Amino acid sequence: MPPQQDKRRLSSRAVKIGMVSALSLTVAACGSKTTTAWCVDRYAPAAGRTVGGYKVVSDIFCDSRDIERGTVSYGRYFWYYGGKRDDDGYVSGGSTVGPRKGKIKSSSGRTLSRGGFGGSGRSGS
Amino acid sequence: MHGLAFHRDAHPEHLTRPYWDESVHYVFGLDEVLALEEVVEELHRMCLDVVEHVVTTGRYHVLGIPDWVAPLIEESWRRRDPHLYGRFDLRYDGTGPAKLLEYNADTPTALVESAIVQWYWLQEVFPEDDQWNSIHERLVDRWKGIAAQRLDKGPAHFAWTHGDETGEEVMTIAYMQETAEEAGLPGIAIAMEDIGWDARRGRFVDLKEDEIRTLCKLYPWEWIVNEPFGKNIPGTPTRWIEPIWKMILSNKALLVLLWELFPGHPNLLPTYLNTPSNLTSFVQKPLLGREGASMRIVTPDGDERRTEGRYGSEGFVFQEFCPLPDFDGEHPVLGAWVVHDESAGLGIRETSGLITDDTSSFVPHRIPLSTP
Repeated sequence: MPPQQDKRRLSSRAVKIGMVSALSLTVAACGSKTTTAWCVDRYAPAAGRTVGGYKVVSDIFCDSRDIERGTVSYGRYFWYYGGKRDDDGYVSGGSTVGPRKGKIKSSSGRTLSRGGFGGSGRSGS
Repeated sequence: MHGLAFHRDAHPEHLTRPYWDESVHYVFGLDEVLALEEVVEELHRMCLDVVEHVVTTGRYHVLGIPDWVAPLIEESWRRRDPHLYGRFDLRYDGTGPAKLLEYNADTPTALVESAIVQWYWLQEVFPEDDQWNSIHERLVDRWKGIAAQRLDKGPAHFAWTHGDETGEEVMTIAYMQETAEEAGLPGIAIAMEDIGWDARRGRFVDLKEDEIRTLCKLYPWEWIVNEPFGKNIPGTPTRWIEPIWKMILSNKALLVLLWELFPGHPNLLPTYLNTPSNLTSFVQKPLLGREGASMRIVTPDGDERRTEGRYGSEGFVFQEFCPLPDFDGEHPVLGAWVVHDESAGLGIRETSGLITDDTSSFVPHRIPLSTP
């Protein structure tokens, strides 16, 4: 004979109706694009790539004023807009010219850097 | 169900079977589920014992954890940094004891399907029946506990990544944020790539340059510590969920340590590090592999199968081969959820092959009201 636990209900009772639709809104919202400005190394193009590509480095090497002014640095490090960063930390398929529309995400202060997380590959398990 | 868009769209070969498949479902007896719940909670306690063992003995090398990370893990464990959830993958055929195949302690997915989608399926198709599923309530409860522990009253941040092309991770992290907000903990979504480092303040910051005090991520710790900002973590007060001590559990060497500390345990399979030892048939898994990649199976008849992947540079474990049960050509794995320290629910994934990978299908389950 099993104990009185038979009366226990194992399933949730408190799931809110409408949450799933709220979720899909959240997912859809993430699809609207802003352009990422990657700080890249001019002297580290990806070996063996036909379409080019640059090594992404910490934002601290690049000047955030270049983004605001739309200027391109001729030094070793410069901003590379859009494109896709691969598992090895190289970005390609973007442009050295910033987009005219939409938001650009990047560093916004001298002591502030971004882009130090991400790009290691697919997650989840 | 059109919400789970990530499955077939993400696979160019166009899988014939949808990810959410309710043309079939599993039926469990209540006694069976209560027994499995006990197994899950025992496995969870054993895993915590492994963390204590590694922290006490300093055997981080078994797990391939870098030296500079070890003190972070120890501090995090000694502080009892709060943990939220995990998913045990079990082999179970309804007769013998369930066997632990893997533990996804850091970045478990299939959460929304388990907590929400199959729950709605139950309400619509078998409203009188029960389901092993209190995941949602327990997540909300756990967030209440986590929120109560913090000293500040600020929001928690929820990090997704641009690297997620399927939308699965975004959906999961959005759901996590929902459960936290239901618990009264406001959330802010941020991409891992957008997290800023304010060197002057020594703090991780969001896009508004506000400090990130609590960061819930679905991004593996072994990646985080190897990325440029990983080196900034020591000394920062950010509360990570899952906490960094989960690195000990999100590593296949856990299976080796479990077998070492609890040899012969009925819910474990013999597992060894970097050698098959006395196993004649085994599954070789990379220490830090994901989604069934870079695996190799040697079956009792000497047959050998491999899956593709680039994982394995940190080493491999060899786990005794114990074939998944076969139901009409499909092989189920039970994903048993733990929230905080308690068993919380079940999600079943099926594959036609012997390795449950990212092409598997999710199948709902129910517990009939009157168990025969």
